[in-house]
Amino acid sequence: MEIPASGATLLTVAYWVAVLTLLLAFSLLTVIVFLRARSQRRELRDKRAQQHWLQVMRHVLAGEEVQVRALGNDDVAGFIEAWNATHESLSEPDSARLLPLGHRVGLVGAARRMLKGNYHDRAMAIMALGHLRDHGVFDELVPFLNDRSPIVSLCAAHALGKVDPPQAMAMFVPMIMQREDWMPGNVARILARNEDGSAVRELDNALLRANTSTVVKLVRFMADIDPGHAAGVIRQLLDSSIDDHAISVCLQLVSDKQDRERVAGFLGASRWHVRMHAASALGRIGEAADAQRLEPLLADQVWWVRYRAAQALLALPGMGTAALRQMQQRQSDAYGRDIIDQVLSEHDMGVVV
Amino acid sequence: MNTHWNAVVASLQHGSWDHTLASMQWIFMIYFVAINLAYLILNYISAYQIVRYMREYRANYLPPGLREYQPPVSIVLPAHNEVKSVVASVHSLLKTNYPEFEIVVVNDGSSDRTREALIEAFGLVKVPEAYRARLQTEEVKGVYASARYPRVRMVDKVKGGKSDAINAGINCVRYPLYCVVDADCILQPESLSRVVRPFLEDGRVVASGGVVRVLNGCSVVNGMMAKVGLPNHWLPSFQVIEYLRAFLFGRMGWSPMNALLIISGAFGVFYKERVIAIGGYRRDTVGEDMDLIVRLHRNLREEKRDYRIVFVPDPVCWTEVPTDVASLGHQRVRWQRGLAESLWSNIGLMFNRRGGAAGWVAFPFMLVFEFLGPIIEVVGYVSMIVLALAGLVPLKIFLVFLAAAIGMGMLLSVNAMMLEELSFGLYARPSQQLRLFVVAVLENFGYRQMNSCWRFYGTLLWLLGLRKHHRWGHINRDGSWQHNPAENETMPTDQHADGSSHP
Repeated sequence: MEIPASGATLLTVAYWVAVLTLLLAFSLLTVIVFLRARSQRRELRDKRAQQHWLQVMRHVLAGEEVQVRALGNDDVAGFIEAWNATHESLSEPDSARLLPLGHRVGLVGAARRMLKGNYHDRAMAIMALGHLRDHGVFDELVPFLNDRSPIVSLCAAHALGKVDPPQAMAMFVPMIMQREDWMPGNVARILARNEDGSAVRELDNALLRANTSTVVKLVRFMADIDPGHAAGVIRQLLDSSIDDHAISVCLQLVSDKQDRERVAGFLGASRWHVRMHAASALGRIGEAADAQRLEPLLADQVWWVRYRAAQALLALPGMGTAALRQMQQRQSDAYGRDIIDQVLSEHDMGVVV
Repeated sequence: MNTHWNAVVASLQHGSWDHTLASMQWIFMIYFVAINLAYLILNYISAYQIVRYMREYRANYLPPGLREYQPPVSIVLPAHNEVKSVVASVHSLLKTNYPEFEIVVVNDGSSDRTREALIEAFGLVKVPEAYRARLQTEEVKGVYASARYPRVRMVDKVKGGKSDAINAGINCVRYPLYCVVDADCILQPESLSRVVRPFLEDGRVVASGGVVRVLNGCSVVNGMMAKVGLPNHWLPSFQVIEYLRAFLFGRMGWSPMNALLIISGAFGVFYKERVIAIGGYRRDTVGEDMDLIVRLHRNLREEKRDYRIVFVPDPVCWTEVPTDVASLGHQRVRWQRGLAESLWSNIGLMFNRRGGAAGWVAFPFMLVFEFLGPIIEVVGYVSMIVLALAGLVPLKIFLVFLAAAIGMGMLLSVNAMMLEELSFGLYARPSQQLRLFVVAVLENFGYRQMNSCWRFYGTLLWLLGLRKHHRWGHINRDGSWQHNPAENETMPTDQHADGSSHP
């Protein structure tokens, strides 16, 4: 059968599509197999080096004299993996015992070279230099604090915080307000590791300049590392006319009994989440007399407010299961009676929500 | 019969078919190039995204952050006649290393001993929970809690289907984020952390999903993934390649454009209030997972909200795929109907003024290539066969077209393998890569065509309105991945019941 002209063009197109795609597919397969083999070889090499250096570090920590050579190209990645992992598992004084080893193997030079490498190498090298606590590298690490990548910048903050805590915190804390991409859990960990009080001092300074949205973030961090100091700030915030979201956060952090009256003032708030957090807070810091203030919330139109109020009532000093049952008898509202049933049954079973 | 056929062939040969044939071939060719080009573009977007993602998250550069900063998550586990697997699934979920979570199992009117098995295994007792029916569901018969396992609760309800079960679970959960997990899925300890991370990094995120991988051929010990492997049988092996394609570029490619139209029903995390605001899961569709995401887009765009629906390339969930043709066929027909229902009932999103990339790119793409694709493919196959039998297509042309189709198919599959290599490299041995490549070649000879036929049938069923009201899919599974004698008692080899709609 004869093929028409347009059919012939089509056939040519199909022919070249077939040839090109098959060629590309086979080339890609070759690349994949090559990448896989190379990555396996590297993994094996790094694993061997890591095991060797972990062994060496164990001997050093045990106080033994160990002969070591300067880091070769094949050793660096494995050494740094082992170095970072070991430091993370050690207390501060034990960690300090490894520092001479880092200097003897030439970690500063090797890590400096890695700082110019790919992303992975850079992050690992920054962490390694931080663990080395060498003041000579502080200025080299500072630019990484502004790196666009949240991981690299947080690694730099972590490392700088180890080398020179006051100076590092003075740079790091003001940036918390601007860097939305920094995971709060990681920021909190870096602040929590600060032991010389500079983090609290800087947070305090930052709070003075913070706006309503950033103040909430900073108060949370403050409450984590210095609850006593945070209590004063929270008190001030509750007394000022900040937004409902900030009030809710402050109510979640309140832990001082002297704030009872202040907290009770929010039980009648128009926003349900403020009422809910106020009820929970009163459950933590309240006294037996606060039962009268919480009881009306058992008939609140929002389930969560009723639930937290019932839990708070049960948590008040002197208010046990029997007293709550008595209160249940007094409730004219069916929802109030139901929520007490639920909370009491959870309490009996030890369920904590 | 022979006389009839000869007459048809004669009429084909004596008609002026040359031009018609050429036009048809051009239509199929243009469609073929367009669909593959579109997939290739998605592929390269995904590759860029995955490389960026892996660069940031490949290693644990930082010491783990303070865990209290991770928001609590409620896990909803809908179950219907899952007596053989539900207890093991809950035990597996309890092993997640997420700091704060609760598990709400919803027993959707099981006719087997699912409810009793849960009560016995976890010491559940009926509690007077003040259940709030914010989403309408079938009657809830009771809520159960446990003193021994305070994280576990069970909602016992009248049968209403998977969507209804999830809605009941949402009514019962306590935390602002909830995660739906199929009762037959295996998670990894860090699965929840990985999928919740986008919510921590970006306040606009309302839903997040991750990659679902094929469990067949892997080893599971004590409810957790122990060793990744490839299946020994052809059918699940084809699905490994299919899942790689579907997730690594089918989903990942849409995420940066905020145009992702589906998060697998097998594993996804959502903002509860946002889902309640759109009325929860629709009960009259078999594609409830896709429908939910499309409605989220529609609703949030109508409200002019700045939002994100995201996808992470982490393999967070492992699911056992069908190993027999009948189950696979049922599954694919069901998926196609789900796709059709979701697209049709949300057609208003397409080319909507505020539709964004979801309405202007992803929706038309799904409609043209995913919904209409099987029809065009099947018509193409049938016409090619008929014309070849009639002697109207020379063997040379037939073979060239076949080679082009196989080449494109292989290229897409190998691209997906490349993405897997760039990301997690879970199939570690070069021999496994070669085996995957062989599978990628062989799937073009029968498997893809069979799939197109099932999807075509699914589209037909939907078009003809022949909806079966089975609300829970049933799939035979072989369970050969389990390697724990203790668990084999509770998870024998004949598991079934699958509710998730898409891979």
